[in-house]
Amino acid sequence: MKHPVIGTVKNNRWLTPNIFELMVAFPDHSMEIKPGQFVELQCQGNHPVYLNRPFSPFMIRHQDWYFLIQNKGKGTNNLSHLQPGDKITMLSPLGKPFLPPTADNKILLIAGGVGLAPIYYYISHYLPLYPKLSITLLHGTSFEEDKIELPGYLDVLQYYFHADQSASQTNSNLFQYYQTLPKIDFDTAFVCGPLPMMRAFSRYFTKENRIHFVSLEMMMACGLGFCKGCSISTSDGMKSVCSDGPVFDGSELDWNLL
Amino acid sequence: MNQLSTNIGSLTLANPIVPASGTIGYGLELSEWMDLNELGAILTKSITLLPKKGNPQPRLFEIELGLMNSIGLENQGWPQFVSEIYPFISSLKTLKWVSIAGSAVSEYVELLSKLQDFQLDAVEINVSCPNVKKGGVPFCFHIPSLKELLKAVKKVNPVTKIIKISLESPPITDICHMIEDEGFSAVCIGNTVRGLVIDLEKQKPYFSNQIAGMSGPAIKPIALRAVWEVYQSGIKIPIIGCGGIRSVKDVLEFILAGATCVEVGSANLIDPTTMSTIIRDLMKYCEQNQLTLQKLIGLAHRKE
Ligand SMILES: Cc1cc2nc3c(=O)[nH]c(=O)nc-3n(C[C@H](O)[C@H](O)[C@H](O)COP(=O)(O)OP(=O)(O)OC[C@H]3O[C@@H](n4cnc5c(N)ncnc54)[C@H](O)[C@@H]3O)c2cc1C
Ligand SMILES: Cc1cc2nc3c(=O)[nH]c(=O)nc-3n(C[C@H](O)[C@H](O)[C@H](O)COP(=O)(O)O)c2cc1C
Ligand code: FES
Repeated sequence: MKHPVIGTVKNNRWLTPNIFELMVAFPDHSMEIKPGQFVELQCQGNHPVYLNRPFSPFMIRHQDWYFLIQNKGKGTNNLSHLQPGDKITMLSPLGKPFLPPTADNKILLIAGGVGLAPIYYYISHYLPLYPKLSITLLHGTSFEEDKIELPGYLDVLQYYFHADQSASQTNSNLFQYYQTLPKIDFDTAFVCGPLPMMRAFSRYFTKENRIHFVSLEMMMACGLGFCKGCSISTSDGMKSVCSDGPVFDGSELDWNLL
Repeated sequence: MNQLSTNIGSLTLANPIVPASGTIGYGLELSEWMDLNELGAILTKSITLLPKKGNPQPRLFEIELGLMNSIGLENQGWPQFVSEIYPFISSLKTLKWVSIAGSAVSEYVELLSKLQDFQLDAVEINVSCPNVKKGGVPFCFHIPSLKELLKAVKKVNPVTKIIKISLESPPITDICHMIEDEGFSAVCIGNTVRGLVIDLEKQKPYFSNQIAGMSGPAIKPIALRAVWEVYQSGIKIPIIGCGGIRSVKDVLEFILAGATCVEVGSANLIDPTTMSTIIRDLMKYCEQNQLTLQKLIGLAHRKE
C-alpha cells in the first residue's frame, strides 16, 4: 500500500533569480520513482495553500531528493522559504513514466526552463544503467541568467543550450534554434517545457514520423486520478494528465485543443 | 454490530465513513492507498447514461480553504459501468453504492432500471450537480421538477435510494420532508455550493460555465448548519452529512448535529489516506469514551 511520506528539508538554495533547488531527505521512502513520474508536495508555510502541488524530481541521491522549482505563486513561494529541518509531506510515485530506453538507444531530450527537472532525472537514472546510451540534450530558457548548470554527465552528453533573450515565456524559439543545429540522429525524443514549445516540436516530429513523448502540465487537484480536474481531450478520448500521463505520445495529442 | 456501525434504511454500515461521489473516481486508484473494505461503503462518481466529456478547461480553481470545480460530470457512461466499474466494485467486500445523474427524468429512470440487473446496496441519486448546463438549474432548485423526478424514480428498482441535494436547496427542510414523504431511504446533504470567479486579466468569468461548485473546509459550516436544521425539523429518514470533512473532529460534529453517516470529499484529493485515518481515529474515540456512535447521532440537539 502506498502512503504519504514525510521528509526533512536538508538544503534550499537559489540557483537563478527565479529558480531554487530544494533538497529533501525521505528516510522511509523506499518506493522507486521512474523518470517522467511526479510527486505531489504539500506546501505549508506562511501562506498555506489548500491543494498540493505537482513536481518532478530533478535528481535522487540515496535518500536525498532534489527538486528544481520555479517561483510562481503562493505554493512555490512557500517552498522557497523552507529551512533545513522543516518537514514536508509527499505523495509518490504518481503518473506514468517516460518509455524506458533500450541499451544502445539514441535519445534526444528537450527541456524548456524547469522542464529540465524530469529530463535531467532521465539522464541521471538511465545513463548509469545503460552506459551505451547516446543522449543529446537541448535546454532552452528565457534568459541567459536562467541557465542551470548540470550537476553531472556533461562529459557524456551532446549538450546544447539556448536562451531566448526575451520574457515571452513561450520558448518556441528553442524550436527555431533546434532547426539551425546540425541534424541530430535519434530513436526517441522526450520533451518537457512550456506548452508552445512542446507544441512546436511535437507538430514537427509528428510530421517527420519521429517517435516522441511530451510531459504535459495541467492544473491538478489530486494528481491521483480521482477528480477529473486535469482532463484533456485526445484522439483516444478524454484522458487525465495526472494518471494517464503526464507523459503522452505527442502524435496522439490534439495540439489545437491544448 | 460494532461501536461504529450505523444504519441507512435496511443497510448496516460497519462505520459511518463513505467517500463523496466524484472525489475518488470509482475507487481503483484509491485502492493503491487504502483498503477500500475499511469503508462504510464505496460510492462511485456519478454515472450518466451516455458518455460525457465534461466541461472544457479550466476545471479547477483553488480558494483559501477549498477549491472550486467545473468538472461537468465527465464519465464514460453506462458501457464503462458494465465493463469496468461494476466488476471492480463487486470485487469489494464493503457495501456498494453507485451515484447516478441525468439531464432528464427519463435518464434517471432508465439508469435505475438498468441497475436492477446488478447487485448493489444503494443508489445515490444526484439531483444537485451545479456543473451541467443542459437542463439548466439542478433539479433540486425547482420544487415541481424535483417532485416529478422523485415520483418517477421511487417505483423503479427496489434498491435503497438516497437523494443527494444541494446545500442551497430552497428551503432545505421542505425538500427533505418531501423526499421522506415519497419514501426514499435517506438524504445526502449535500453537494458543492455554487460560486463564481472572475478572471481579472480577461475581465470575464474564469470558468466557461461561469458558475462552479465550491467544496472543502470553506463550506463545512454551511453543510453542518443544513444538517442541523433538517434534523431539528423532525425528519425520520437518516441524514448523510457532506461538506468540508477532513478529520474525526469534523465527523463528530456532523454526527452530533444529526447525521447518521458522512461523506468525505475534497479531503481525499489532498491526502488519499484521510478516510482510513478518520476511521481509525473514530474507533479510538469511541473506545476511549466507551460509547457507540449511534448514541451520538443528533445529541447536540438535547435541551438541558
Ligand atoms: C506533472 C507536473 C510536474 C511539474 N514539475 C515541476 C517542476 O519540476 N518544477 C517546477 O518548478 N514546476 C513544476 N510543475 C509546475 C508546478 O506544479 C506549478 O508551477 C505550481 O503548482 C505552481 O504553484 P504556485 O502556488 O506557486 O502558483 P499559483 O499561484 O497557484 O499558480 C501559478 C500557475 O501555476 C499553475 N498551478 C497552480 N496550481 C497548480 C496545481 N495544483 N497543479 C498544476 N499547476 C498549478 C496555475 O495554473 C498557474 O498558471 C509541474 C507541474 C506538473 C503538472
Ligand atoms: C472534483 C469534484 C467532483 C465531484 N463530482 C461529483 C459527482 O460526480 N457527483 C456528485 O454527486 N457530487 C460530486 N462532487 C461533490 C462532492 O461529492 C461533495 O458533495 C462536495 O465536494 C462537498 O464535500 P467536500 O467539501 O467534502 O468536498 C464533486 C466534488 C468535487 C470536488
Ligand atoms: S488532478 Fe485529479 S484526476 Fe488529475
